[in-house]
Amino acid sequence: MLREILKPAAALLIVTFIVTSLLGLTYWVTAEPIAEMRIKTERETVRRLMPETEMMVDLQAELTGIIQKKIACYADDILIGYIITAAPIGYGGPIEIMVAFDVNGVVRDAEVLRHKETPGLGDDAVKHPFLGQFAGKSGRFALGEIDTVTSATVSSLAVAEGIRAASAYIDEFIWGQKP
Amino acid sequence: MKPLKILLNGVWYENPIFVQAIALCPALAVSTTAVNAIGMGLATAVVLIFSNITISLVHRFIPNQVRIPCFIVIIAGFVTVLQFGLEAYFPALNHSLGIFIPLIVVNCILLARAESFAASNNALWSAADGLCTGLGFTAALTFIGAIREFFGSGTFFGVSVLPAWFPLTVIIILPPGAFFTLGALIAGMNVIKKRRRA
Repeated sequence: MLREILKPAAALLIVTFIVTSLLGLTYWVTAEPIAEMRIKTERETVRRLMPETEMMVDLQAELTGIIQKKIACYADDILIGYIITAAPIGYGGPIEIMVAFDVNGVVRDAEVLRHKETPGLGDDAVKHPFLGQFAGKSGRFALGEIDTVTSATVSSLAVAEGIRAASAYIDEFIWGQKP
Repeated sequence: MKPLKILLNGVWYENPIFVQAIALCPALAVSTTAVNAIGMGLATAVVLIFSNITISLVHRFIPNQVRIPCFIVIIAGFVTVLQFGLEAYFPALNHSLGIFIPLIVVNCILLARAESFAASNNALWSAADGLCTGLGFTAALTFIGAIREFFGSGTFFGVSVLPAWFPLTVIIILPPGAFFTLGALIAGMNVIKKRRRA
């Protein structure tokens, strides 16, 4: 009787133990390449968003809420703009967006780095036709100005909020600096 | 002829979508375009081949009462390992297929094939079954995806084919449209089957 209970339990324990160990091992082995790959994609994205960038400086400023990173871009030692990384929560978890601003805090372009939105529905909100409408916006623009993607309202609004948060943040940063 | 039987079963007689009607949730969610459908189908096929092999090798050591939790743990572990590997070493592939991988964990085709085939066949046949079922899944998804993309977005594999004045049927790319398309295709398949029997 006891044997009948113990045997399956032991088998389940062994299977979970082996699978978990393999998972841990894979995580350990791949953690470094994944981190490197992320830095690489980030750099490539900066290059696409601000092609004229020659030097990037990671401004380790006080970050609030969903704002994750602030990069200043220089060309010929002259400040040409900022890139803010925001991570609003979408339908399937955080959506990491990089937003490029000119020196006056006007949105130039945006690109999504990582997301887990539903393929075919929500992921339209992380692609270019949708992201394109943010160009030219600045400050705390009204979300009503943005056309959401059909059947992907949650993903669209998350992206819009992320870009708006980045825009409001950079606006405060630029105008807060000037006397 | 066992190989032929496995192939015909996977693609036609036991097609996971049209006949067994399993894994509909991830399938219908991604079949809004043909390209997405192929991506999901191929990612599933690869995982299915390996999960079938693993399960055919270990099922002897697993007591019957706990086989389902064990299979699920093995499949979920396998999928996660694949996800890490793709993210670390194949950035291009990860960019196009990465979003489908988490959907595969909850794909019951894997469990269904583990239960009904891999647990009673050797590793080689199980791999073949995984490949053929995966192909059937990919074919079915691509079919649905191409039809939905055509009527819903006016494109075919991403290329615009309908003139601009042609009214698009947006509901086809929304969830109800997935069921309409699937229903129509299953009806068509049944008609063909009936004719052949008569």
